[in-house]
Amino acid sequence: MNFNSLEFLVLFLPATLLVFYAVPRHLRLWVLVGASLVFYGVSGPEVLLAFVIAIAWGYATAFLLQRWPKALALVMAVSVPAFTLVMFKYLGFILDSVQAGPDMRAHFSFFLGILLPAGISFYTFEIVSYSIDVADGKIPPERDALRFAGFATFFPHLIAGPIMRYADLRDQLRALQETERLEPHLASGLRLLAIGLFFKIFVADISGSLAAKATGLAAGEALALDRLVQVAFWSMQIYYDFWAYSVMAIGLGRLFCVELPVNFREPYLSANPREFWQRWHITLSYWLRDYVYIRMGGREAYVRNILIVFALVGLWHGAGWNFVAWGVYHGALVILYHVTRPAWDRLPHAVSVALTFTLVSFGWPLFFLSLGDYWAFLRDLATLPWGVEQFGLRHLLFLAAIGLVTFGVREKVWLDIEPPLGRLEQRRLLGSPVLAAALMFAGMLCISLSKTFIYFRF
Amino acid sequence: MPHAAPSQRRWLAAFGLTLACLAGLALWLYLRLPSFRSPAFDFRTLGPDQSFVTQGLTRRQDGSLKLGFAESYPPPRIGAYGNHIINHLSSEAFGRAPDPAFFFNYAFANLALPELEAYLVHLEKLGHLPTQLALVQITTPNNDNGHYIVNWGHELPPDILLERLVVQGNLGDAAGLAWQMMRSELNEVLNYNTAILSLVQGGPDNRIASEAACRDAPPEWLQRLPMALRGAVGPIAGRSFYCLPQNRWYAYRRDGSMPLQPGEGPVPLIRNENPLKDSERELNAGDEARIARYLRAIEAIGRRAGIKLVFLVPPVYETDDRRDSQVNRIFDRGLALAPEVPVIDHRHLHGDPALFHDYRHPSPRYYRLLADELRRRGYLD
Repeated sequence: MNFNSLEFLVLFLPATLLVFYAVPRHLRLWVLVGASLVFYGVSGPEVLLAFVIAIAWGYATAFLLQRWPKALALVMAVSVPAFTLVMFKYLGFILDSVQAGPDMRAHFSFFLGILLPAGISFYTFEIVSYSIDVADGKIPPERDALRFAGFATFFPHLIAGPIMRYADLRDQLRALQETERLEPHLASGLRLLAIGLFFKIFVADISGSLAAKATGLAAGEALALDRLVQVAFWSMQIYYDFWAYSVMAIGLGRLFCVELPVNFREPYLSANPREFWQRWHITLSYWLRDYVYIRMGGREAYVRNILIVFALVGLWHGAGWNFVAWGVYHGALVILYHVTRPAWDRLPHAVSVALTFTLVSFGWPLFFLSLGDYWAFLRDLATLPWGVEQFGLRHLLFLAAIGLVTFGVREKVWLDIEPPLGRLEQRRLLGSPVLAAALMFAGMLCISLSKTFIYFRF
Repeated sequence: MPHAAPSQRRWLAAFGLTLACLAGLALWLYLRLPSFRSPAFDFRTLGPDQSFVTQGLTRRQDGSLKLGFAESYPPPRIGAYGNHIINHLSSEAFGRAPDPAFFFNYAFANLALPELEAYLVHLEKLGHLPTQLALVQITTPNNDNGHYIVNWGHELPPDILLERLVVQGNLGDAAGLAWQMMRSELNEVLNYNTAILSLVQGGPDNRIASEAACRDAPPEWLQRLPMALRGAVGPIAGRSFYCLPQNRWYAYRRDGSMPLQPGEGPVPLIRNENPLKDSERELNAGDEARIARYLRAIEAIGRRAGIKLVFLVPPVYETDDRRDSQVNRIFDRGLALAPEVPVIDHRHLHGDPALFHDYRHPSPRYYRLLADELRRRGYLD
């Protein structure tokens, strides 16, 4: 189920909220887990089964981590979620890469026939992080199976993050089970839900449609500036698509008294590629830092480790060489910054922000184009006549308006996403319930124009 | 119940009230939209060169126009059922002038197999199935990456789904149908298109276009209007709005087919227009059984009515290598599970541009070829 669907907003969410707050405290987590399984299960019984097996495996094998030799138990714990991830997400890519013929593919037709389960990369990383944290002794294995299921299934973060650690949620879930009278910040949750929905539909999806307008055009139908505008629209589409999801997820969490971590901190205002990754998809960056980069030796072999980590970032995003190239490109940017840091840091702030944004933006087409098409795209940019053919003034004004919000207005002024909560409700316009309701209604009215969140398939 | 401070409660009350008012407004706009189903429009009253312009109708209204005709007037000998993909299939394919007593094209928006089953059962109850042959088109898997084959759209009127709900013996199926009904209605009520069209849409009076009726030049102000505004303001201009060249061909002739603009050859054909991204496909492992189940259920309707019924899978304009797409494979397995069901599978005709109006809509030449095959296989006897 998608957050940007009427069945979610009008049927599923209100019904879940009503039941959640109506039942006694010891049943709250049952309601959340049950609703989350329904939320996920509408994608099909096979993917639900794979999800439930991964959760059960993660829960059960955590107890082995205390009894068996650590390495063996950890391999055991991680094997099933990792196997599921590989078979559902990477099998096609592997077979393509080894140029497997129809006979070999026929052996895997079951896995190839099943559509990539939504959010599989997210929940696999969450379960794996739990196993590693237990193996490292950072947290004890959770004995309450319901609480563990609540961590893995909680629907606001289930499909596209933020990637949670068990330690972040454990106490909050326990509070749901133990607190007699909950005090949710419903106003803040609803505001974020409305804002996220509005930005998803009216910024991300419109930007995506406009970028797609210039895709697949024959020679002579697009000019160099068309390609540049297309890159800018892709940048806005990807950012606001994922940002909007994360904002909605945080809002939804607040409706159920669960605070999810912020996943984006105005990443396009970053002054260098390293800072970008501290502000973009923060929970993924920290996951890779803690569970891959540091374990490989961190700064001891900086260039090698950065390249490996970013190649993994690329692969995590998608099973294709274009995604690997995108990851390696970002790794190269981080290394470039590392090498040129003294000079880079002396640049005026506005210049370094513009430079970082430009470099990051030129990576985004790899999300949409194959490697061959990407080279052709760059060639177009270099060789086509300078001018705009596909985009008119209204498109450019739209882009300028998004740019103004992205670069000109700080989130703390209008979003109220980080605690302490409730500051914005004191403000007449930005905190107005009428404005929030109007944004939500506008989003719902135009929901048929909306596309699936890009990160749903990661 | 949760605890909330008074300021929170006030905020929530204002939020809820505003949202309720706006939702009420959307409902009111939905309710005032004419159905175009009842009273039914009689396509037989259209002259040979006349057509009923559908520009500015919602998809449900567009389909309901034909549904009303199917419910209220005698059925033809041959009826074509399916979705927009076969819009251009007309009597002319069978060598006849448009004649609703011989052939009628009931194509409806984006109907998929579950909805087609409900639609045909509804007509069966009314005794309004065609008297000789029902041709049931299935969305070609590569047309829309597996969409609109077994997944539901939101376009069929709810009473038809309700009929199916009432006769469901299986609780799971009934729950699934009830869910689909709720989804359909929600998506119809909370829809910008419904809201806008409810404010600007005229009735059927001015929608009948023909060479004679459209001889006068449209008013200059209408032509100068930016495209974005034309749909909203244009209906004020009456018939001249529907006679505008870009509107006039979104129309149905007396046999329910959609005309091609005179002199128009194949529009710029984009081979492989749908990229078939695996992550976005709509057919999944396990759908094979559902495909076979719906094929059998629909075929049984024809048998009960004592008429011939054949399924059609039209081609899309694409390259050879896409034959092995994942959605094609799942669909093939679905067909193989119901080998007794007659299917004319034309997916192999994907390479000849003359058979296409565009990537997904076959051309009149294709339909002549189809009619020949129907004749050869005895469906027209």
